[in-house]
Amino acid sequence: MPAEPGEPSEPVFPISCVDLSLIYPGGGGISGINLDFGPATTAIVGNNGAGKSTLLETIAGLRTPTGGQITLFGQNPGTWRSTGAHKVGVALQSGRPYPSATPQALLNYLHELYTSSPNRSGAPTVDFLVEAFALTTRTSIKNLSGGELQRLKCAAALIAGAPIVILDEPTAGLDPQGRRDLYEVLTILVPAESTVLVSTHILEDLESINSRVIALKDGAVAYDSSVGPRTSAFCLTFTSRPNLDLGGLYNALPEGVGISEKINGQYSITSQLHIDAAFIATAMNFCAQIGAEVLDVQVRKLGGVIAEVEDLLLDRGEQ
Amino acid sequence: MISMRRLFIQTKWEFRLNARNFEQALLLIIIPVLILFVLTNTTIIGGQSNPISLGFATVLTVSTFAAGFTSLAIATAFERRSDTLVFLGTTSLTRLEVVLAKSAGSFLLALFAGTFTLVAALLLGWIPATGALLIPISIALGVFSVSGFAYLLAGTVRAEAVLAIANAVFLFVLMLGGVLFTFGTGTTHVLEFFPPLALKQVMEASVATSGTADASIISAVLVLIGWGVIGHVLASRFFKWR
Repeated sequence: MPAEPGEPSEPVFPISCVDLSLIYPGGGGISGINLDFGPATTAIVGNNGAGKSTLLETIAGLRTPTGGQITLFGQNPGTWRSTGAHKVGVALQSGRPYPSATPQALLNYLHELYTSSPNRSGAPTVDFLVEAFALTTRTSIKNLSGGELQRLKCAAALIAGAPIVILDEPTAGLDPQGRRDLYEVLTILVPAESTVLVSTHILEDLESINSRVIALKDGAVAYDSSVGPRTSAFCLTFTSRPNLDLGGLYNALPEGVGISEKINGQYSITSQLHIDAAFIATAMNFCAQIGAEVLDVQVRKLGGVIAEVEDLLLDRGEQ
Repeated sequence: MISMRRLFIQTKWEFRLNARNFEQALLLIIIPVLILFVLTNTTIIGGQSNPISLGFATVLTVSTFAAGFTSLAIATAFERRSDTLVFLGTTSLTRLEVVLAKSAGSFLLALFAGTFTLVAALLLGWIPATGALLIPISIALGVFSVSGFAYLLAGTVRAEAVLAIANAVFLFVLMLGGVLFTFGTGTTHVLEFFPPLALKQVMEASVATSGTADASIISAVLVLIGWGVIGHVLASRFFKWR
């Protein structure tokens, strides 16, 4: 990050990851993550096992990195804890905390715990959160449905009024309407100056979040919507026999296209330029020349971030 | 660094959760009070000049052990399984505060149970001496001597196994630890080096005397502190938070 002339130091991001790695003993995890997060909302997407929870739990200070560095407002994640200033509100994906307590009792207790926290002034009250997240107050936490539990966890993450909010798969197990509702409530409740990280493996959620998008794949950043131009604008897909000569096809087509075989025999050609009839004819001719049958030819215009990420994440069969 | 305010709130929360649990009430109040009635109305303890005070000390030992070891191990193990401990990791509490609040909650639970047995003992004719003022300290010492092992068990073994093991150890200690039954001199000398009998001796000194400490009581106190240190060191080394 270049410092402005005359500035005494580099800007301090709420969250900064430098070459961050956490490799599990059995393999997997995250590696070489270089990301800064400013005061805005960022969606973290990726398939199951891509490293979303590992990244978020490491940022929350729940896991110790095996390499690199993570800082919150320029400090180690553990530092703020000993000072008592609550900097990160977290809703974890796993777990059902205090199953024998009621949501109301849990929130009252957390509210008391954070009463003298420096961020308290802007934090919501228990009654407000109960109302906003439509929480049942008398049922034990062990009897809450999946959706109610997610909403309670979100309420618990917001109750401290912390400047950083981390929500790991808050929409897991919710139906589409429930997901939209939850994001609507979050949009209203989370203060604009907060740094929010939301993970999801449901790409349609991105329509509701409307923010910077980061895609993780195999523990590394595969896509960051805040970096660089869009890589592709149009996409031609078709089905044929497996293992076509992609090099030959590439040479036959105009320059600047990307070709991949996604799943066995399913091909995708992406291009910055418009995919017109001549383009399609060239591709089909190539297949005809090598005697490959072609089915399900489709051309679509990629609708921005979602399509790009989708393209990237579905891309499992690529060599 | 410990915040007394956070520690107070967390202890209150722990105690509240524990006190609402029915199994805990059974383990900590009903069983000890029943034992007290049995001990004082049968001839198991032969030749003692003051069986009610001895019975009271025995029962305090039982409830302290139940709160400081069995209940604590089971509660912590299930909190580990439900990821409640990880959830606590997302709050402003430090690990030390979480552990201290748990131990303090267990102490309050044992004290709470102790007041029930105290009332029962008074009804059965126990006459308090000044040593009774040391009962809370003896309870705290007893909780400390075994709570480290409760954490060690809860933090290394599956919750269902902890449930079985902690209850088995509870029965084992009652029967064979020198708490309910006394053994020959040789066996007793060995058992004196373990928390159950050492705690019972300290409790007897608190309940039955005016609080004077002789050499054997001091050594019993040292045994309790020693096991407490060993248990907590082992727990801090091997405890897994999830």
